[in-house]
Amino acid sequence: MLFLKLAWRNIWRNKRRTVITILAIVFATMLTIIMRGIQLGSYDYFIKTIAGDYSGFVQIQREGYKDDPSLRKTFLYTDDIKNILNSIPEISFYTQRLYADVLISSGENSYGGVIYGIVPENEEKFSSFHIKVKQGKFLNNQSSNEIVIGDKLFENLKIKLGDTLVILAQGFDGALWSMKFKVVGTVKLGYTELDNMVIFMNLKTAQEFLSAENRVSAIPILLPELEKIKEVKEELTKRLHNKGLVAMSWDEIMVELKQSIDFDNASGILFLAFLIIVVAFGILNTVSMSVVERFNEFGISLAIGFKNNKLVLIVFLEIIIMTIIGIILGSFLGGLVNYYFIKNPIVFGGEFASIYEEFGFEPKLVSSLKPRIFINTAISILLVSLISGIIPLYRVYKLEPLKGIRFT
Amino acid sequence: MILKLAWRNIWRNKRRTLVVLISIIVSVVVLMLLDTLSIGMLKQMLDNQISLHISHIQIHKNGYKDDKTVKNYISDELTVEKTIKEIEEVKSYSKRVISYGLINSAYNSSGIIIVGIQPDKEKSITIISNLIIEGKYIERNGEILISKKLAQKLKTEIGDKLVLMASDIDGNVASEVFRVVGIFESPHSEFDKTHIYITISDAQRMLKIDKIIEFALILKDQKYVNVVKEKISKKIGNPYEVLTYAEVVPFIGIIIDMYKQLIWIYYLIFGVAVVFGIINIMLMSVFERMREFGVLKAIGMKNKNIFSLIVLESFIIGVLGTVIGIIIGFALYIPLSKYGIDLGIFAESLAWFGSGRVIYPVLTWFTLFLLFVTMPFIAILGAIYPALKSTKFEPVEALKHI
Repeated sequence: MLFLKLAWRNIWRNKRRTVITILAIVFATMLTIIMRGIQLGSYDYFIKTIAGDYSGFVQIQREGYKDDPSLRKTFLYTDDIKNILNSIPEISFYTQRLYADVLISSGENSYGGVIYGIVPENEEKFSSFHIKVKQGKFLNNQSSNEIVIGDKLFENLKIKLGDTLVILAQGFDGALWSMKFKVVGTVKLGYTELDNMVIFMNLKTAQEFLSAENRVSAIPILLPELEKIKEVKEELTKRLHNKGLVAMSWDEIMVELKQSIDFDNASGILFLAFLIIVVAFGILNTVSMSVVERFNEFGISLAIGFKNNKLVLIVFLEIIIMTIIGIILGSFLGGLVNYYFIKNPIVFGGEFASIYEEFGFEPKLVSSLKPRIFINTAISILLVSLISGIIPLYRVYKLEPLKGIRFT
Repeated sequence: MILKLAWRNIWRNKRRTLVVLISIIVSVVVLMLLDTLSIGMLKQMLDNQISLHISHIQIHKNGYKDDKTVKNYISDELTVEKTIKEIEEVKSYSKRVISYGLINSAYNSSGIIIVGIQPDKEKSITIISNLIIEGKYIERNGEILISKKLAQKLKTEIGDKLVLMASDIDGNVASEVFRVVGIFESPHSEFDKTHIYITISDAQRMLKIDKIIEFALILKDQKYVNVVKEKISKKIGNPYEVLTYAEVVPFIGIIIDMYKQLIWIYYLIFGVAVVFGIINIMLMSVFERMREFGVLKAIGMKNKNIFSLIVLESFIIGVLGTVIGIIIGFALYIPLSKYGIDLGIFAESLAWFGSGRVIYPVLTWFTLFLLFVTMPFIAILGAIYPALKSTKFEPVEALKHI
């Protein structure tokens, strides 16, 4: 306790210097927390929205579908599977989808497209497809021979709502089928690739058209939180394995998304690491100065029987106190900023938005107040400032009484 | 005189100055690598697009860009070709027929973009012939070149037959059989998913046209694009659209613009991190020298001289750190720009962005300018407060200070 008091007093001997050093730490902490908040918050948001719309958090596929996403690798959706899914309490929702690559033609123009055979009433709870309708309406359970297509595809085909289109596809049996469908709506999903290609139709219709009775490509599953993924995936794999089915998590299905997040994350961490190192040089200087200034005093203390390691402890406490004050203030300020960005996410407009859409992200940045942001930031800053204190601490440790007293 | 004084003062406390110098050097090196690598990655995204397919300039019938239908073919091919040949900045050009279609194997099908090319001429404008990883490049009619990604999806190998379907100029669905002769893999995975190559005459026969859809031009240097665009537009006029790569793939241009608008924030962040260190050491050195300043003032040195002395000291530290930082930065940059950084662990993400997994940093004059300016400027900024403090000392008071 005495040492703590001594350390506290020492810090405030040169107020200006201490304040500047603490400010530097506050700056580093705050910036780290804001940047990490936006990164981690946005990743979570991207994963939740993208996984919701496309893969689900976890997805059931037939074994081998990932390397060969064809109709042949679809599977029968049986009551057995349904029972297993319903028996796992962590699963908050699931739906069935059938995908197929097709050629869609207005008679004058034709384009490659991809059928999303869906169950409309499920999708309403599952994805945001139905709220991204741009013109007309979304599908409902009664819709048969009706389709909703991506707005870019709609523009390319140069048709009007209510027009009929011909879709040409290779069915499950390998034969080529063509059928007429009526366009009842368009969607703008905000993912350029899909907006150019997507064709929504009722699962039943798709199954009949592709002669894939009762077959589905995937069963995407939603969970209440991302942390449950591993557990549910293992449980499902165990129980579905004997049916030739596998459970995969979103990051196995959307490898590009996962890696892009990792890439952004790694470069963010690297940037902040260097920033903290630059700030650490400032800490090193302050501590060095304050130590050298007091060599005289330390010398006397040693001469009257104080031990070196006690002096080291005092200086050590000084570093810790300064750093912790900085971290607390910085975390508080950074937390306030993050809170603000959670309540008011940054939404890009105009050209910036188009970049995000090109890669399928919503042009929106959300922050986060996850405890691990604060804990990791605090630990790394504390660690770096302690490392920067090693040299001055060592000099105190090696100080001899006479040298200290003579030091001017 | 002041310069000499400042230089000596800086080295009065070597350790202290060195620490601040190092913090500036680290910042400069980090900023230099960060900036050059980011620019390098963006440039690779653009260069890959250009050399893979887009080329420097594309010429179509007016309106093709917004409505990519076979009906928008170039009606007077010869006039356009003659115009292109007359322009000296053009290195080479090739003709293409492009259409959306569906490709089917016995196993699976996929929506694709059919690119009908002149095999030997295409070689001179794009790198596609160098990207063959299996089999060979197409030469004859009846042959088709597909990507590795597509081959996997279709479960197809060299020698297998595939059926292409597309709607011809009359709106009827045409289908034709092709033999796979080659498989390519480009640095851009999204491109690979959708593009297949056949000969231009096959494409014309399938779509029932005897015209072409697109001229793709490669210039002697990228910087001529706007000049050449002007020249060609003037000659062939309204029936055609002459597009630069920036107009064909605008979104990479937008990313580069956005990057340029945001990069200064990184400089600022490191600037602020360094400024605290500078304020601190300059304050310390000012307070240490209180007596000295007292004497200087007593013998008639003006406040403004003392002020500029301190700012100059700090400025020298800033410049010195910057110069050393840039030298070290160059020492790292030169080998990196030659061999690149292999970011294999993010390969699929980088393929998605189309930059390729090996990133080569690119140093621009603008980056060099920012690097040179930031830290000296920050050093001056950081010295203002300590310098103001030093002018506040009363000579007598300061003399008394020990």
